[in-house]
Formats: sequence, C-alpha cells, structure tokens
Amino acid sequence: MSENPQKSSYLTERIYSPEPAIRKPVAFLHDIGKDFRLSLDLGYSLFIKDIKAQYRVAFLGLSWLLILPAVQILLWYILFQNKIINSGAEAVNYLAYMSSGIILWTIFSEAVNAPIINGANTKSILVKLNFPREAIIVSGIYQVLLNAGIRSVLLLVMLSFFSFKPDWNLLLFPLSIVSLIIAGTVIGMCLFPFAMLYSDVNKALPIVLQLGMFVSPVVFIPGENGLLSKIIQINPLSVLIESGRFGATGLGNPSLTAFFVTGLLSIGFLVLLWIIYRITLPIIIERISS
Amino acid sequence: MSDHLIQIEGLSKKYCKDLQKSLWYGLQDSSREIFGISRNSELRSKEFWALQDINIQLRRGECLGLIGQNGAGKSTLLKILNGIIKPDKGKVTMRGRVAAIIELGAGFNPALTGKENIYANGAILGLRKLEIDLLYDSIVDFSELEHFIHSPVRYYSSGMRVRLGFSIAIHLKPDILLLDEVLAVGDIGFKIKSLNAMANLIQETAVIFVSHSVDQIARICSSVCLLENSKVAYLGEDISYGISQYEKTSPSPGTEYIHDGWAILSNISINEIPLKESGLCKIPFGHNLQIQFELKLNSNIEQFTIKVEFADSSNRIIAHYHSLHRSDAMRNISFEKACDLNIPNLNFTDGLYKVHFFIMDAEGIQQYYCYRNMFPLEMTGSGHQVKGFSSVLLDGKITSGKNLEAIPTKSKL
Repeated sequence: MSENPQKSSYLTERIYSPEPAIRKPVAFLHDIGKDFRLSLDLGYSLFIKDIKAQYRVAFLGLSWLLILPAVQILLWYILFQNKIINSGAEAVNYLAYMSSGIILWTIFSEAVNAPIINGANTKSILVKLNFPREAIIVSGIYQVLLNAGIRSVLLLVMLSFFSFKPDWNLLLFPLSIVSLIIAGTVIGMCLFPFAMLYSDVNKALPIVLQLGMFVSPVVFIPGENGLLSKIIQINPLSVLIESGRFGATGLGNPSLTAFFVTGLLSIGFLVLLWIIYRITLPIIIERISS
Repeated sequence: MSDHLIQIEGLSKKYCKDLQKSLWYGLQDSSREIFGISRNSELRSKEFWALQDINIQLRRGECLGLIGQNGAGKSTLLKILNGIIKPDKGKVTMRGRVAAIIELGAGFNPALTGKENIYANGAILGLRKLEIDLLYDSIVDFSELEHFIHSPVRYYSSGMRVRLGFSIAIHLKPDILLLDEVLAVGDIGFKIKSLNAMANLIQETAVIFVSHSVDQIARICSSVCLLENSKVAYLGEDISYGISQYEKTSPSPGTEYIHDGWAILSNISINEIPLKESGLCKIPFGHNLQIQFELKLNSNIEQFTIKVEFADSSNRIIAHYHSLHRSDAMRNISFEKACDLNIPNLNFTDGLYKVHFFIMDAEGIQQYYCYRNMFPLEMTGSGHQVKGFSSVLLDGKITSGKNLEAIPTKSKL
C-alpha cells in the first residue's frame, strides 16, 4: 500500500526524553537554527493573519493603523499652533523633545508587551499544536515594526513642519528604534514565562512601564543633579532614546559609543533569551494546560 | 535502525494537583532545565503520576486504539508524543512527520475566510505555502464548502468548521498520526466519508487513536491499549478483550426513575440471583433471561405493559421485548404482585450489553417506571466476536439449485 516501502529508513527522528536539551549543545543549536528559519515564515504568516483579522472587523479597516498615531501627532501640532504650549524657539524644541521621546517610548513599550500579548492570544493553540514556538515572538516583532514605521514617519513629517532639517544623523533614528525594539523584546521575553503562569505580571506591567517612562528621558528633561537625573543616567534605555531623538531632531548630545555598546548588549541578551524561551516553554505549557 | 515509527520506552509523567504549587514547580523545573540539571524524578508534595512506565511500539500501517476512563492519561500521552510537553522518565522516539489532530480547527480565526484559514492553519501545522497551494482544491473539495470558502468562518455552522478542520488534517500526509476524539463529528454523510478517509490514511501511517467510542476503535484499530490509573492495563491485538476489560472497569451505574410514585419495583432478581448481589450477569448463548420482581402500582393505573431493552456498548438498542407485542396489556388488579418475566433464547454475539427496564402505559407511550442499566449482561459462547458491532444473530437458511455446495469458511466481517 505504501508508495515507498523504504521510506522509514530516511525519516527524521525526534527523541523526547527528560534529559535537559542543553546537555547536547550541538543538536540543540542545530534545532534552534532550523526552527528559527521556520519561525520567520510562520511568524510572518501569523502576523499577516492577525492584521487581516484585526482590521477586517473594523469599518475603517487598515486605516486605523494610521489614524491613532496621526491623531496623537496632530493633537501636539494643534496644541502648539494655538499657543496652548507657549511658542518660541524653546517651546518648539520642547515639542520636538517630548514628541520624539513619547514616540520612542511607545515603540519600546509595545515591544515589551508584544510577546506577552501574543502568548496569551495563542495559549489555546500552544497547548494543542506543535509548531516552532519562536514564531509567536517573531510575529510580535513584525507588528511592532509596522507600528513603529508608521509612527516615526508621521513624527518626521510633523518635525519638518517646524523646520527640523534631516541630516546624516537621521540614520541613528531607525537604528535606535531597532535597538529599542530588541531591548523591549528582551524584557518582554524575560517576563513571558511569569506572565504565562501568573496574572500578576499583566496587572503590574502598565504601571511599571509608566514609572519607567519617568526614569527615562521621555517627557522630562533631566537636570544635572537630583536622584531622578542619577537614575536616568544609569538607565540603559536613556542612551537609546537620546540617540534616536538626536537622530530625528538634532537635540541633545548622546555618546555614540554607549549607544552601540547598549545595542550590542541587547542583541546578546536577545540570543540568550531566545535559548531560554525555547527551553522553558514546554514546561510552561505543561503548567498552563488543563 | 528499528522500523518502528513510534517507540515509547518506560515513559512516565507526573502532574501536580495544586495550582499554586504547580506554578512554583514550573519555575523550579524551568531553572533546572536552563542550567542543564536533570529533572527531579521523585514525586514532590501534591504530585501524582499521570502516566507510569508506558511501553508501546508502532509500525507503519498499525493503528493503536487508546482507551481508558477520563483522567487515565490518554491526552497526556498524546501531548508527549506530539512534543508539546516533556516526559519525566523514559524515552519517546518518533520517526517521520507527525500530525496531531487534537482538536479540529484549533486556531481558526473567525474573522478570516475559509480560504485564509486553510492557509493560516496549514502554516501552523507545518505546511509551506507551495504545499498548501497544491492541496488547496482537494481540501475544499473534501470539505464540500465550495460555496462558503470565501465567507468568514464566523458565519460557518459548527459542523462546517469541523469539516474544514478535518479536511485540512487529513491532507497533511503524515507518517505518524495522533487523533484525539475527532471522528465523532459532522452529519452522518460526512462521518462515513471521514471514516473512510481515515481508513485509507491509516494504511500508510502509524496511528494512535483516542476515543471513547469503542465501536470506532473496534472498526479502525489493529491493536488496543487500555490505560487504567495511569498504567497500561492491557496492550495487544485482541481488541474485543481490551474493550471488554475497559467496559468492566467503567460500569455505568444503574439509574432508577420512578415517575411520581406511579410504580415501585422491589426484590428484583436476575436468573434467581438478587440484583444487589448479582453484579455481572453471564448468560451462555441461547439461554434464557429471567427477571423476577415485586411490583407495586398506583391504583389509578388501569393497564400497563413491561418493556426490556438491550443496548450494546455504544448504547445502541439492538433488541427489545415489549409485552404489548406479545399479548394485551396487563390489567392492574391487585396493585401489588410478584412478577416473573422470562425471555427465552438470547441470541446475541459475544460481548457486554446493558439492560434497561420500563413499566409503561397500555399503549407503550408513557413511562411509569424506568431503570436504566439495571444490570450488565455478558453473552458468551455464541462463537462470534463481531468486530465493531454487537448484534443479534438470526437464523437463516439458503436454498439453491443443485450445483451449489456449501464450503466451510471462517466467519469474518
């Protein structure tokens, strides 16, 4: 009956045993690499499916992707034009400072939330189907990238109305966005197992992110002294935000060395967490499944 | 290399009863794994073995029916085989492409159309876009959903969703197939179609099939594994034996319904053994069944009839006795009487049957009294173990022209 009686001689073999996967590092890394390629494809199709599903049930459809950030930017513009925020060179600079800060921070916090939200949404298939689990993270990153792209273009359009001229430093802007997304994903993946097991994480996360905003150079310009300024100085996110802002607006004077070191560190942490995620997810799934 | 596609050796798995402890153990286990420390193979507080020392091997073309009561560990075993959770002891080797149909249409997005869901679901199940392109027409064809394939799945009926899910699943062309209670779906036409499709698929695949329908197990499987209290209680090719063991471990309790005190039965005995002591009633093929009881009827009942139904393990009524058909309804004279019901010559094939007992009105419409699963009945010695169906054996005789001669054959179905 079988078309190919010798088939079983070259079948891929999978072994499940209690032994920790990391004890066989070569096979483990090989599997990670294989699943990484698969999860890029699957993550992309999950992302497309999510976008379609989200916006199909909305009358205005995909335009919602644009509407929300556009309204935010427009609001800042109108507030400024109507002198609700005092005009003048100082005020223009503050508007640029604040708007770029908030946009960058929003991108970061979306990146933190993405793995957690996607994990919760796919819980039901996680416990039933076997697929490269990394796809959940990948599809989250695609979503964050899309939103980040739209927000940053709108920001640059607004800034151009206030005669901010882009120069070569603008290259720093996308670089810092990517670094912030990586850093956010790292934090999101750290929280992921806890968020899957305990609902405390979801409850506390919005507050923590709000607090985080105040210890980063987002809306407040840190002074030379004071406790807050000290915290902002040691906060590794500060240099990423400041570099992005410098790229978009030319404001501030961030250390490029610090920026690249932080960016590379984030990548290192991402690789580490990618491995940890893979190891721990089956255990997490076991505990959440009925 | 062994030609077994599924090889399970000494597999054990433990679970935790307590939620808070379970989450805490989850964190502990996670950190052990990260640092490459072996699992704690002893039970910790509030833990229990969900699976213990399971050894199963399966080749291509073999189909193992997995049966057992709820909580016996069937779904846990499938999850481990599918690589969703890790074992605590032992080793599982899976050779070839694995497809698990644990829940049809898991991951369907209601806002997307049937077509989009085929692609999305296929991707999650491990198909590339090109592969789905090739299979697409065949999937739609099988599901019989041509006219709805561009409508969002939220407008599908539950049967339509299941059809779509099943169509995708059988097109995966796996080497190993894990099925969890998925064939009990759809209307009768689709059910037959899907059973046939399964039967074809099974010939080229190693299948583990979990079902509570012993009828389907008997029809499809080549061997059976009975899980009982997280251990293998029976593993072998004698499917009837496995199923009968399963049914003995899970006797459905009898339930007595007395409608507003219309009729009360007492001192019931079966073949002269009191019901409370009788347990399983074994009757050799062709012998009689005698039910004796004392009946107390409400004085308002003028006439009544007695009905006894025989159901097979799938709860299908395969035979019944009704006094209505035999004689006139009985007149209620004394309100209290000792009755003796004798049903001669029981001619069912070997197996377990359930007996339901009714007291009804003269037309056989209204129930005065009903005792479901009054007792389990085991038929023996019919010489027939009909695969899949338990049934009544009828007498018959073939007559023909001169040139036909009977050749002795083995009974087979």
